[in-house]
Amino acid sequence: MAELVHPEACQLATLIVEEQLGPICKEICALLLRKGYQTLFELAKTSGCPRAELYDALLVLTQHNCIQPFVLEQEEGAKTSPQTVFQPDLLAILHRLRSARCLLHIADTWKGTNGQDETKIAEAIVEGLLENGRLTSQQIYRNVAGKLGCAVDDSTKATKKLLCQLISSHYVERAPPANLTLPKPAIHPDAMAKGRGISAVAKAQEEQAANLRRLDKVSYGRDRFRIPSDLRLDDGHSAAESALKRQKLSHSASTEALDMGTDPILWRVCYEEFNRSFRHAACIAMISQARDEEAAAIASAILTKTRHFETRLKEQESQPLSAAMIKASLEEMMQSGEEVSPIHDVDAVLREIERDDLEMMTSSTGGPDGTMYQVQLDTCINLARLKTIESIVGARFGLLGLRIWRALFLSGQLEQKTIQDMAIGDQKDTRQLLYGMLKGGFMAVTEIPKSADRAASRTFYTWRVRRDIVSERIGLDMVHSMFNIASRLHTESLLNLELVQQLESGNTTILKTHRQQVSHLTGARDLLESSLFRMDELNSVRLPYDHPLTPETYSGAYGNSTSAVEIAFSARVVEQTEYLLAGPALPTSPTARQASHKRKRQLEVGPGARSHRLYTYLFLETRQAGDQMRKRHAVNDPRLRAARVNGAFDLLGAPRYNRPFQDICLETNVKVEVCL
Amino acid sequence: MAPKTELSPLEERILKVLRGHPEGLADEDLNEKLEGTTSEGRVEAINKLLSIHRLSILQTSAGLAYKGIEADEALRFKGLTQDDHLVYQAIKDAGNKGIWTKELRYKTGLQQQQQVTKILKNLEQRSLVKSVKGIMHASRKLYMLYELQPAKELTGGAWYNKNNFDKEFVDVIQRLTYKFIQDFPESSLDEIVNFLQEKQVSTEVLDAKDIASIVRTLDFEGKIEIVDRDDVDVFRPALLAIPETNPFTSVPCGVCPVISECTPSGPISPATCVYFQKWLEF
Repeated sequence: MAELVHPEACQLATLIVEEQLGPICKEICALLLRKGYQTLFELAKTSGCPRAELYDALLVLTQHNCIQPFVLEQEEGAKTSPQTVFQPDLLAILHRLRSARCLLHIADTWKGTNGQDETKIAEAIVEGLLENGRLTSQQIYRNVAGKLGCAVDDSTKATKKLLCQLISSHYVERAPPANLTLPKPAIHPDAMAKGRGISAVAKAQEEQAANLRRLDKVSYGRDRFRIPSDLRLDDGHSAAESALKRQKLSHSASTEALDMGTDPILWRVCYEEFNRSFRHAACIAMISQARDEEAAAIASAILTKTRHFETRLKEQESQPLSAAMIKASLEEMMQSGEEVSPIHDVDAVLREIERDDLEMMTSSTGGPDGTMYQVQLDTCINLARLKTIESIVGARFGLLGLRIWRALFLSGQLEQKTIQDMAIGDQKDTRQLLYGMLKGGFMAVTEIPKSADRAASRTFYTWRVRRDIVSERIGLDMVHSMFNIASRLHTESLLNLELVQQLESGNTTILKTHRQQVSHLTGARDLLESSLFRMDELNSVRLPYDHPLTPETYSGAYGNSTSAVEIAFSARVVEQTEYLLAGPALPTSPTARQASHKRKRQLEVGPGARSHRLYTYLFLETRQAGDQMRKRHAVNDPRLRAARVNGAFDLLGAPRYNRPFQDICLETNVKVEVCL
Repeated sequence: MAPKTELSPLEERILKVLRGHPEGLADEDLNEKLEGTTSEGRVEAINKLLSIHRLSILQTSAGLAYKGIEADEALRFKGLTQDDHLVYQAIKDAGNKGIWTKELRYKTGLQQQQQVTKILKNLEQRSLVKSVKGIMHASRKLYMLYELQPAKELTGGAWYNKNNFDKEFVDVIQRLTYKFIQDFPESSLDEIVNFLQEKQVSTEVLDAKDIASIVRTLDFEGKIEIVDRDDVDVFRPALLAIPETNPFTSVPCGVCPVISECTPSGPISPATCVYFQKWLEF
């Protein structure tokens, strides 16, 4: 959280909330982003909002995971009841841009391993959660049934099974309770350490608060991905088998009782798992680009097999895997129907990997099963980031600029004349580029005076590149650009508000004079939205601005960070998955199939297709030779058609977000009565 | 033309001996070669030759040495003042890197710029010195001896033509080098040099150092990689090329020169951006 509090990111988050949840939510969210956490009283005082509207806005924001209520720590012996504060979750808001991509990922992941119907149910579950923020299991069943066009009773069993699978694979998690203790605010690294002058009492209180927070975290971390008993029991197996499974799962009786209680469990999408998957996909793509498809398939096999042994959100490297295990994993992937490029000679590819200069995959000898192979995730991501930075430098400053930047990046600190000679550039151009890069934050200059008066004529000026600063600068520029694009999209819609309303109401009798306007609006929206999606994709993986959640946050998912616990958990997950997969095949009614086909046709040809505009997700853009404006070429990508059919929603201004505020408020499931 | 000065037989003999030693001859060696002459006669002859600029004294590692000057060349020095000689000597000491007037004044101790300018003009008229302009300071005149070729630091080397950077030439050599590396992966520097020499793409002689710097620029552009094969650097196309464009650079903001000044309510804003306007034209 603390890493991302930049004005550009806050502006973007505010715009997203305004577009998706309306102006009142935007006001409250902007206030919270500006102030940090606030109590209800403080919010009422500073926002000037009527009490009822404020309540509703807080409920909507919490329902959509944009804010999280916490309980404020109390001093020992305090007689008042604990205060609840609301803290904005900036990352969760920004992640809303990634919703369509998450949906595509679910479609791709489930396509390989399960039948078509199961894929649709999984997509419907995730889509429902993305649309509604957090839902109870009963609401999920109803939502899925509505989306598939079948009776709730017909689809509940299959939905339950898929929901269990999604929870087991960490794509869906329990929403955090409203009574968690407020995390300690992150201290800026430059801040002075306050060691002295703190009394023993204050220290003890601090320690107690830290313990409380730790307990909260462990408690929530333990239950975060736990499948409740009502989802586990009724799965078509005998009572004896269920009992056996229950015995293997080390849950206490009290927790079971809690599940069976009246308080419903709210489920939400776990973005962390999606981010991890995107990170893995980026690593595999990088290996494919640098080496070949076969090496990428090996990497994919390693990452798939060792996924459950990852303890942190951002692992530096995968767990090592022997050649035999890699072959077995490849076979499993092929049998399950995943798209893996066929490998003729796995051993030959592994030998090639051992000689990899880029060290994206490494091998080590001396393991119990001979040579072990692992994917260096950090190396892959760093390489991808470096290539992105170099690409940006090349686009902004041309080839000579790129030569200068790389010369300094590889050589360290140099004088202008040496840079000019190394990059073979004109003196004037080199100087201009150096100063341009210095202004843009791509370069730093050091002054080394020869005399005490620090006269420029008697001073050496050495130039250097600081990659961390450059990465941060580009990350900020990217978020700024994303805000600009979203803002422009908003402006375009406002300028053509009347036309947009006509289109959304399904009015097809548009005057001839408006056709050009419609064409412009459609084209502009397509281009802006696709650019936004693609920039978010780049930003999520390749630049350091993607620190979505700290490793500590995620380690809670496995309870403790000790390997024994995590291995036990992984084994449990695998066991559950196998158990669920062994269940009976899903019933497929002809009515459901017909409804699905009908909906698909409507989406492809009808006016509803406008809101399913993910077909604009991929655009190929080529640079013009002279200026740097772009031409665009739409690509008829099968993924885009699939996205359109799958009902992926568009980012801004989609009809579902233009509902009256009160309607949204009525649908909230949040249990924050304690704080209101 | 000034009347030719008559030389005595001893003086002629001295010049004849020195003609056989263009690098200069030490005093002891000269005395050995002038057997049968008296020391007073030799001193008188040498002094006369020095006064009419037919002899110069060099400082070598072994001590002082004499060097003869041809009659035609001596004529160029005829009538030069002591200050003229001082300036000439300072220019000579600067070698092929040249010296500019400010430094010249400092080295000779001549304070008046006008005086130095006059001397330099005189020396230039006599074709004793010439002025050149370097690439580093285009407006600064550098003086060096007339017969010297300017140093590489001044001319910029093979990549400059008449003090101007020859971008097209660099591009051509770069393209040819890259094509060769693409066609023959893992080629060495010698192979590339031979290829370019066979192609005769340039009237300028490009040595291995020049080609090495071209190869290095290809590495900086991310087009090739340098790999160590048995302690020899070989070059191959890069496994991981730098992408020409990415989603960020494909939008106007990615290459916008004023993005830092862009704010929602400022004079430069996304709503009024001309780059956006042009980008969204359909």
